[in-house]
Amino acid sequence: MYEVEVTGDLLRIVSSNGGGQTAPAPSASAVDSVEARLVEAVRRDGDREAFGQLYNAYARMVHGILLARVPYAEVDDLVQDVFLHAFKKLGALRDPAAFGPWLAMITRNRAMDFHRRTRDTMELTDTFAAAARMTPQAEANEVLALIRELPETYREPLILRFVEGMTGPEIAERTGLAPASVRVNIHRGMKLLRERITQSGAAKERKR
Amino acid sequence: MSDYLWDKTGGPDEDAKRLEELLGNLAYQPRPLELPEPLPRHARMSHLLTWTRVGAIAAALLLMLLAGAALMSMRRQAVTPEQQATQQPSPQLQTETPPRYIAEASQEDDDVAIQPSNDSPEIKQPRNGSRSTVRQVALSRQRRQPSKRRVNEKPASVNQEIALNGVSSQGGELTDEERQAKDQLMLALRFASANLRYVQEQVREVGMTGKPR
Repeated sequence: MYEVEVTGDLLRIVSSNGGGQTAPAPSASAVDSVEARLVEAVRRDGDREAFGQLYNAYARMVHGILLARVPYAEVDDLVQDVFLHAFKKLGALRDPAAFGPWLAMITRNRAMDFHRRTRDTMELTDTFAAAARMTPQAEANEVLALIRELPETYREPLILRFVEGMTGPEIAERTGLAPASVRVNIHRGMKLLRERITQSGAAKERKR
Repeated sequence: MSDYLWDKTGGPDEDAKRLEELLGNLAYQPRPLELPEPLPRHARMSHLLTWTRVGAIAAALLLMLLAGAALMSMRRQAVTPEQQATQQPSPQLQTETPPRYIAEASQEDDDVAIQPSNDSPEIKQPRNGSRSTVRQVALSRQRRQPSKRRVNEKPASVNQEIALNGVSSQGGELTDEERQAKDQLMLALRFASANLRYVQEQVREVGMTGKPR
Protein backbone atom coordinates (compact mmCIF):
# COMPACT_ATOMS: atom_id res chain seq x y z
CA MET A 1 0.00 0.00 0.00
CA TYR A 2 2.68 2.45 0.98
CA GLU A 3 4.61 1.73 -2.21
CA VAL A 4 1.87 3.29 -4.31
CA GLU A 5 1.88 6.30 -2.05
CA VAL A 6 5.66 6.52 -2.15
CA THR A 7 5.76 6.19 -5.90
CA GLY A 8 3.17 8.91 -6.29
CA ASP A 9 5.04 11.29 -4.01
CA LEU A 10 8.32 10.66 -5.64
CA LEU A 11 6.96 11.09 -9.13
CA ARG A 12 5.68 14.46 -8.07
CA ILE A 13 9.08 15.32 -6.65
CA VAL A 14 10.89 14.18 -9.76
CA SER A 15 8.52 15.95 -12.11
CA SER A 16 8.72 19.14 -10.09
CA ASN A 17 12.54 19.08 -10.24
CA GLY A 18 12.99 17.43 -13.59
CA GLY A 19 12.53 20.31 -15.98
CA GLY A 20 14.37 22.88 -13.91
CA GLN A 21 11.21 24.98 -13.99
CA THR A 22 9.75 27.13 -11.26
CA ALA A 23 7.41 24.52 -9.79
CA PRO A 24 7.43 24.67 -5.98
CA ALA A 25 9.66 22.06 -4.37
CA PRO A 26 8.11 19.78 -1.73
CA SER A 27 8.93 20.45 1.88
CA ALA A 28 12.14 18.95 3.23
CA SER A 29 10.34 16.77 5.77
CA ALA A 30 8.06 15.27 3.10
CA VAL A 31 11.06 14.42 0.93
CA ASP A 32 12.87 12.97 3.95
CA SER A 33 10.00 10.69 4.84
CA VAL A 34 9.62 9.48 1.26
CA GLU A 35 13.35 8.88 0.97
CA ALA A 36 13.47 7.15 4.30
CA ARG A 37 10.73 4.76 3.24
CA LEU A 38 12.43 4.07 -0.07
CA VAL A 39 15.76 3.47 1.64
CA GLU A 40 14.09 1.13 4.11
CA ALA A 41 12.44 -0.77 1.24
CA VAL A 42 15.79 -1.20 -0.48
CA ARG A 43 17.52 -2.29 2.70
CA ARG A 44 14.79 -4.66 3.83
CA ASP A 45 13.78 -6.31 0.54
CA GLY A 46 16.54 -5.29 -1.85
CA ASP A 47 13.80 -3.41 -3.73
CA ARG A 48 15.43 -2.41 -6.99
CA GLU A 49 12.47 -0.34 -8.10
CA ALA A 50 12.68 1.76 -4.95
CA PHE A 51 16.37 2.29 -5.59
CA GLY A 52 15.55 3.31 -9.15
CA GLN A 53 13.31 6.02 -7.74
CA LEU A 54 16.10 7.25 -5.49
CA TYR A 55 18.36 7.28 -8.54
CA ASN A 56 15.91 9.40 -10.49
CA ALA A 57 15.61 11.86 -7.64
CA TYR A 58 19.35 12.20 -6.94
CA ALA A 59 21.10 11.63 -10.26
CA ARG A 60 21.25 15.36 -11.02
CA MET A 61 22.87 16.11 -7.70
CA VAL A 62 25.46 13.39 -8.17
CA HIS A 63 26.11 14.56 -11.74
CA GLY A 64 26.61 18.15 -10.60
CA ILE A 65 28.95 17.25 -7.76
CA LEU A 66 31.04 15.13 -10.09
CA LEU A 67 31.05 17.78 -12.80
CA ALA A 68 32.57 20.22 -10.33
CA ARG A 69 35.53 17.87 -9.89
CA VAL A 70 36.11 15.52 -12.81
CA PRO A 71 36.21 15.85 -16.63
CA TYR A 72 32.86 16.01 -18.37
CA ALA A 73 33.58 12.87 -20.42
CA GLU A 74 33.99 10.80 -17.26
CA VAL A 75 30.97 12.02 -15.36
CA ASP A 76 28.28 9.70 -16.75
CA ASP A 77 30.22 6.55 -15.94
CA LEU A 78 31.08 7.84 -12.51
CA VAL A 79 27.41 8.57 -11.79
CA GLN A 80 26.70 4.90 -12.40
CA ASP A 81 29.64 3.91 -10.20
CA VAL A 82 28.43 6.08 -7.36
CA PHE A 83 24.91 4.64 -7.39
CA LEU A 84 26.23 1.12 -7.68
CA HIS A 85 28.44 1.70 -4.66
CA ALA A 86 25.53 3.26 -2.76
CA PHE A 87 23.31 0.28 -3.58
CA LYS A 88 25.90 -2.11 -2.16
CA LYS A 89 26.63 -0.05 0.93
CA LEU A 90 23.12 1.11 1.75
CA GLY A 91 23.11 -1.17 4.81
CA ALA A 92 25.82 1.00 6.34
CA LEU A 93 23.59 4.11 6.30
CA ARG A 94 22.40 4.66 9.87
CA ASP A 95 19.75 7.31 9.29
CA PRO A 96 17.62 6.56 6.21
CA ALA A 97 16.47 10.20 6.11
CA ALA A 98 20.09 11.28 5.57
CA PHE A 99 20.38 9.51 2.23
CA GLY A 100 21.10 12.74 0.30
CA PRO A 101 24.06 13.95 2.38
CA TRP A 102 25.39 10.40 2.54
CA LEU A 103 25.22 10.06 -1.23
CA ALA A 104 26.85 13.47 -1.70
CA MET A 105 29.73 12.33 0.51
CA ILE A 106 30.15 9.13 -1.48
CA THR A 107 30.18 11.20 -4.69
CA ARG A 108 32.90 13.55 -3.42
CA ASN A 109 34.98 10.60 -2.27
CA ARG A 110 34.55 8.92 -5.63
CA ALA A 111 35.75 12.07 -7.41
CA MET A 112 38.84 12.21 -5.18
CA ASP A 113 39.45 8.56 -5.83
CA PHE A 114 39.23 9.19 -9.56
CA HIS A 115 41.96 11.83 -9.37
CA ARG A 116 44.12 9.61 -7.18
CA ARG A 117 43.96 6.82 -9.72
CA THR A 118 44.47 8.91 -12.83
CA ARG A 119 47.15 11.23 -11.47
CA ASP A 120 49.98 9.01 -12.68
CA THR A 121 48.65 8.51 -16.16
CA MET A 122 47.41 11.90 -17.33
CA GLU A 123 47.70 15.59 -16.67
CA LEU A 124 44.62 17.38 -15.41
CA THR A 125 44.86 20.14 -18.02
CA ASP A 126 45.08 17.60 -20.83
CA THR A 127 42.02 15.85 -19.48
CA PHE A 128 40.00 19.04 -19.43
CA ALA A 129 41.23 19.95 -22.90
CA ALA A 130 40.18 16.54 -24.19
CA ALA A 131 36.82 16.93 -22.52
CA ALA A 132 36.44 20.32 -24.17
CA ARG A 133 37.07 18.86 -27.58
CA MET A 134 34.52 16.14 -26.98
CA THR A 135 31.63 18.40 -26.02
CA PRO A 136 29.72 20.35 -28.66
CA GLN A 137 29.67 23.77 -27.09
CA ALA A 138 33.11 25.22 -26.64
CA GLU A 139 31.75 28.30 -24.92
CA ALA A 140 29.95 26.25 -22.31
CA ASN A 141 33.11 24.34 -21.64
CA GLU A 142 35.08 27.52 -21.25
CA VAL A 143 32.67 28.79 -18.63
CA LEU A 144 32.72 25.41 -16.93
CA ALA A 145 36.50 25.58 -16.85
CA LEU A 146 36.28 29.01 -15.24
CA ILE A 147 33.91 27.69 -12.58
CA ARG A 148 36.31 24.86 -11.86
CA GLU A 149 39.07 27.38 -11.22
CA LEU A 150 37.02 28.95 -8.44
CA PRO A 151 37.53 27.89 -4.80
CA GLU A 152 35.97 24.52 -4.08
CA THR A 153 33.30 26.00 -1.80
CA TYR A 154 31.75 27.87 -4.71
CA ARG A 155 32.15 25.30 -7.45
CA GLU A 156 29.58 22.80 -6.31
CA PRO A 157 26.64 25.13 -5.63
CA LEU A 158 27.27 27.09 -8.85
CA ILE A 159 27.28 23.97 -11.00
CA LEU A 160 24.22 22.54 -9.26
CA ARG A 161 22.51 25.88 -9.77
CA PHE A 162 23.47 26.70 -13.37
CA VAL A 163 24.18 23.31 -14.94
CA GLU A 164 21.68 21.09 -13.17
CA GLY A 165 19.04 23.81 -12.77
CA MET A 166 18.46 23.22 -9.06
CA THR A 167 17.29 26.04 -6.80
CA GLY A 168 19.21 27.12 -3.71
CA PRO A 169 16.78 25.51 -1.21
CA GLU A 170 16.84 22.32 -3.23
CA ILE A 171 20.64 22.22 -3.22
CA ALA A 172 20.66 22.70 0.54
CA GLU A 173 18.07 20.03 1.12
CA ARG A 174 19.66 17.43 -1.14
CA THR A 175 23.25 17.90 -0.06
CA GLY A 176 22.48 18.40 3.62
CA LEU A 177 24.27 21.78 3.67
CA ALA A 178 22.87 24.74 5.61
CA PRO A 179 20.65 26.90 3.35
CA ALA A 180 22.38 30.06 4.56
CA SER A 181 25.79 28.68 3.55
CA VAL A 182 24.51 27.64 0.14
CA ARG A 183 23.00 31.07 -0.40
CA VAL A 184 26.20 32.87 0.54
CA ASN A 185 28.31 30.54 -1.59
CA ILE A 186 26.09 30.98 -4.64
CA HIS A 187 26.20 34.76 -4.42
CA ARG A 188 29.93 35.00 -3.70
CA GLY A 189 30.68 32.41 -6.37
CA MET A 190 28.57 34.31 -8.89
CA LYS A 191 30.44 37.50 -8.11
CA LEU A 192 33.81 35.81 -8.61
CA LEU A 193 32.61 34.13 -11.79
CA ARG A 194 31.53 37.45 -13.29
CA GLU A 195 34.99 38.85 -12.60
CA ARG A 196 36.69 35.83 -14.17
CA ILE A 197 34.47 35.94 -17.26
CA THR A 198 35.22 39.63 -17.71
CA GLN A 199 38.96 38.97 -17.34
CA SER A 200 38.78 36.09 -19.77
CA GLY A 201 36.85 38.17 -22.33
CA ALA A 202 39.37 40.97 -22.05
CA ALA A 203 42.24 38.52 -22.56
CA LYS A 204 40.58 37.19 -25.72
CA GLU A 205 40.12 40.71 -27.02
CA ARG A 206 43.77 41.40 -26.45
CA LYS A 207 44.76 38.27 -28.39
CA ARG A 208 42.71 39.38 -31.37
CA MET B 1 20.76 41.16 -4.99
CA SER B 2 18.06 39.40 -6.92
CA ASP B 3 16.26 36.39 -5.46
CA TYR B 4 16.36 34.77 -8.86
CA LEU B 5 19.86 33.54 -8.18
CA TRP B 6 18.70 31.83 -4.99
CA ASP B 7 15.27 30.35 -5.76
CA LYS B 8 14.41 31.53 -9.28
CA THR B 9 11.81 33.98 -8.00
CA GLY B 10 11.56 37.69 -8.68
CA GLY B 11 12.97 39.46 -11.69
CA PRO B 12 15.40 37.39 -13.73
CA ASP B 13 19.08 38.16 -13.34
CA GLU B 14 20.41 38.56 -16.89
CA ASP B 15 23.79 37.01 -16.22
CA ALA B 16 22.25 34.14 -14.30
CA LYS B 17 19.72 33.49 -17.04
CA ARG B 18 22.45 33.47 -19.71
CA LEU B 19 24.60 31.09 -17.66
CA GLU B 20 21.64 28.76 -17.16
CA GLU B 21 21.01 28.61 -20.90
CA LEU B 22 24.66 28.17 -21.73
CA LEU B 23 25.54 25.57 -19.11
CA GLY B 24 22.21 23.76 -19.29
CA ASN B 25 23.62 21.84 -22.26
CA LEU B 26 25.98 20.04 -19.91
CA ALA B 27 23.20 19.00 -17.57
CA TYR B 28 22.55 15.42 -16.59
CA GLN B 29 20.90 13.41 -19.34
CA PRO B 30 18.68 10.70 -17.85
CA ARG B 31 20.16 7.27 -18.34
CA PRO B 32 18.89 3.97 -16.96
CA LEU B 33 20.68 2.70 -13.92
CA GLU B 34 22.55 -0.54 -14.52
CA LEU B 35 22.45 -2.48 -11.30
CA PRO B 36 24.07 -5.90 -11.24
CA GLU B 37 21.82 -8.91 -11.16
CA PRO B 38 21.32 -10.25 -7.65
CA LEU B 39 23.45 -13.21 -6.73
CA PRO B 40 21.86 -16.54 -7.65
CA ARG B 41 20.39 -18.46 -4.74
CA HIS B 42 23.01 -21.20 -4.72
CA ALA B 43 25.81 -18.62 -4.67
CA ARG B 44 24.27 -16.91 -1.64
CA MET B 45 23.90 -20.28 0.02
CA SER B 46 27.50 -21.13 -0.67
CA HIS B 47 28.48 -17.93 1.15
CA LEU B 48 26.38 -19.03 4.10
CA LEU B 49 27.87 -22.51 4.04
CA THR B 50 31.38 -21.14 3.92
CA TRP B 51 30.80 -18.92 6.93
CA THR B 52 29.07 -21.71 8.82
CA ARG B 53 32.01 -24.01 8.21
CA VAL B 54 34.52 -21.39 9.23
CA GLY B 55 32.52 -20.75 12.41
CA ALA B 56 32.33 -24.46 13.22
CA ILE B 57 36.06 -24.95 12.73
CA ALA B 58 36.87 -21.90 14.85
CA ALA B 59 34.55 -23.09 17.64
CA ALA B 60 36.05 -26.58 17.58
CA LEU B 61 39.60 -25.23 17.72
CA LEU B 62 38.73 -22.95 20.61
CA LEU B 63 37.16 -25.75 22.59
CA MET B 64 40.10 -28.04 21.91
CA LEU B 65 42.46 -25.38 23.17
CA LEU B 66 40.40 -24.95 26.32
CA ALA B 67 40.29 -28.70 26.90
CA GLY B 68 44.04 -28.96 26.37
CA ALA B 69 44.69 -26.16 28.84
CA ALA B 70 42.44 -27.82 31.42
CA LEU B 71 44.22 -31.16 30.93
CA MET B 72 47.63 -29.57 31.31
CA SER B 73 46.66 -27.80 34.50
CA MET B 74 45.19 -31.03 35.91
CA ARG B 75 48.38 -32.96 35.11
CA ARG B 76 50.53 -30.31 36.69
CA GLN B 77 48.46 -30.48 39.86
CA ALA B 78 48.75 -34.28 39.98
CA VAL B 79 52.48 -34.56 39.22
CA THR B 80 54.03 -31.80 41.24
CA PRO B 81 53.96 -33.34 44.75
CA GLU B 82 55.26 -36.68 43.40
CA GLN B 83 58.02 -35.03 41.45
CA GLN B 84 59.05 -33.22 44.58
CA ALA B 85 59.13 -36.53 46.44
CA THR B 86 61.19 -38.34 43.77
CA GLN B 87 63.61 -35.53 43.18
CA GLN B 88 64.57 -35.34 46.89
CA PRO B 89 64.18 -38.89 48.10
CA SER B 90 67.50 -39.62 49.86
CA PRO B 91 67.34 -37.86 53.19
CA GLN B 92 63.96 -39.13 54.21
CA LEU B 93 64.34 -42.73 52.93
CA GLN B 94 67.84 -43.26 54.23
CA THR B 95 67.31 -41.73 57.60
CA GLU B 96 64.23 -43.83 58.15
CA THR B 97 65.84 -47.23 57.28
CA PRO B 98 69.05 -47.23 59.27
CA PRO B 99 67.45 -46.84 62.68
CA ARG B 100 65.60 -50.11 62.06
CA TYR B 101 68.72 -52.28 61.68
CA ILE B 102 70.62 -50.20 64.12
CA ALA B 103 67.95 -51.11 66.56
CA GLU B 104 68.21 -54.82 65.59
CA ALA B 105 71.91 -54.74 65.89
CA SER B 106 71.78 -53.00 69.18
CA GLN B 107 69.47 -55.71 70.44
CA GLU B 108 72.13 -58.32 69.51
CA ASP B 109 75.04 -56.42 70.73
CA ASP B 110 75.10 -53.06 72.35
CA ASP B 111 78.70 -52.63 71.37
CA VAL B 112 78.10 -52.55 67.66
CA ALA B 113 77.57 -49.07 66.35
CA ILE B 114 76.72 -48.37 62.77
CA GLN B 115 76.91 -44.92 61.35
CA PRO B 116 74.17 -44.45 58.80
CA SER B 117 75.51 -42.75 55.74
CA ASN B 118 74.58 -42.63 52.08
CA ASP B 119 77.09 -45.05 50.55
CA SER B 120 79.24 -46.99 53.01
CA PRO B 121 78.05 -47.19 56.51
CA GLU B 122 81.08 -47.52 58.66
CA ILE B 123 81.14 -50.62 60.91
CA LYS B 124 83.13 -50.42 64.02
CA GLN B 125 84.68 -53.56 65.34
CA PRO B 126 83.10 -54.70 68.57
CA ARG B 127 85.26 -54.38 71.52
CA ASN B 128 84.75 -57.97 72.50
CA GLY B 129 85.24 -59.19 68.87
CA SER B 130 81.86 -61.01 68.52
CA ARG B 131 81.67 -62.46 64.98
CA SER B 132 77.99 -63.25 65.10
CA THR B 133 77.16 -59.64 65.65
CA VAL B 134 79.13 -58.60 62.59
CA ARG B 135 77.39 -61.22 60.49
CA GLN B 136 74.05 -59.96 61.68
CA VAL B 137 74.91 -56.48 60.65
CA ALA B 138 76.08 -57.64 57.23
CA LEU B 139 72.90 -59.63 56.73
CA SER B 140 70.79 -56.74 57.73
CA ARG B 141 72.71 -54.61 55.21
CA GLN B 142 71.93 -57.13 52.47
CA ARG B 143 68.31 -57.07 53.49
CA ARG B 144 68.31 -53.34 53.45
CA GLN B 145 69.74 -52.83 49.96
CA PRO B 146 66.93 -54.56 48.02
CA SER B 147 64.38 -52.87 50.15
CA LYS B 148 66.04 -49.55 49.38
CA ARG B 149 65.87 -50.36 45.69
CA ARG B 150 62.21 -51.21 46.01
CA VAL B 151 61.53 -47.92 47.69
CA ASN B 152 63.32 -46.11 44.90
CA GLU B 153 61.47 -48.05 42.22
CA LYS B 154 58.06 -47.11 43.45
CA PRO B 155 58.07 -43.43 42.54
CA ALA B 156 59.35 -44.23 39.03
CA SER B 157 56.44 -46.57 38.37
CA VAL B 158 54.07 -44.02 39.83
CA ASN B 159 55.53 -41.40 37.56
CA GLN B 160 54.99 -43.71 34.62
CA GLU B 161 51.44 -44.28 35.68
CA ILE B 162 50.84 -40.56 36.00
CA ALA B 163 52.36 -39.91 32.63
CA LEU B 164 50.19 -42.56 31.01
CA ASN B 165 46.91 -42.05 32.78
CA GLY B 166 47.17 -38.58 34.19
CA VAL B 167 45.90 -39.71 37.56
CA SER B 168 47.17 -39.23 41.03
CA SER B 169 49.77 -41.50 42.56
CA GLN B 170 47.86 -42.03 45.72
CA GLY B 171 46.50 -45.48 44.99
CA GLY B 172 44.70 -44.33 41.79
CA GLU B 173 42.34 -42.28 43.92
CA LEU B 174 41.58 -38.76 42.66
CA THR B 175 41.70 -35.82 44.99
CA ASP B 176 38.78 -33.45 45.11
CA GLU B 177 40.57 -30.91 42.94
CA GLU B 178 41.49 -33.51 40.39
CA ARG B 179 37.99 -34.87 40.29
CA GLN B 180 36.62 -31.37 39.81
CA ALA B 181 39.08 -30.67 37.00
CA LYS B 182 38.21 -33.97 35.37
CA ASP B 183 34.50 -33.18 35.56
CA GLN B 184 35.10 -29.77 34.00
CA LEU B 185 37.12 -31.29 31.22
CA MET B 186 34.49 -33.90 30.49
CA LEU B 187 31.82 -31.21 30.46
CA ALA B 188 33.85 -29.07 28.05
CA LEU B 189 34.40 -32.02 25.75
CA ARG B 190 30.73 -32.96 25.84
CA PHE B 191 29.80 -29.36 25.06
CA ALA B 192 32.26 -29.21 22.17
CA SER B 193 30.96 -32.47 20.81
CA ALA B 194 27.33 -31.30 21.02
CA ASN B 195 28.23 -28.02 19.32
CA LEU B 196 30.02 -29.74 16.49
CA ARG B 197 27.14 -32.14 16.01
CA TYR B 198 24.68 -29.24 15.86
CA VAL B 199 26.78 -27.31 13.31
CA GLN B 200 27.21 -30.45 11.26
CA GLU B 201 23.45 -30.97 11.19
CA GLN B 202 22.90 -27.34 10.23
CA VAL B 203 25.40 -27.56 7.40
CA ARG B 204 23.79 -30.78 6.15
CA GLU B 205 20.34 -29.19 6.40
CA VAL B 206 21.40 -26.06 4.50
CA GLY B 207 23.12 -28.16 1.88
CA MET B 208 19.99 -30.24 1.30
CA THR B 209 17.17 -27.73 1.57
CA GLY B 210 18.99 -24.45 1.01
CA LYS B 211 17.45 -23.11 4.22
CA PRO B 212 18.64 -23.36 7.82
CA ARG B 213 16.18 -24.69 10.35
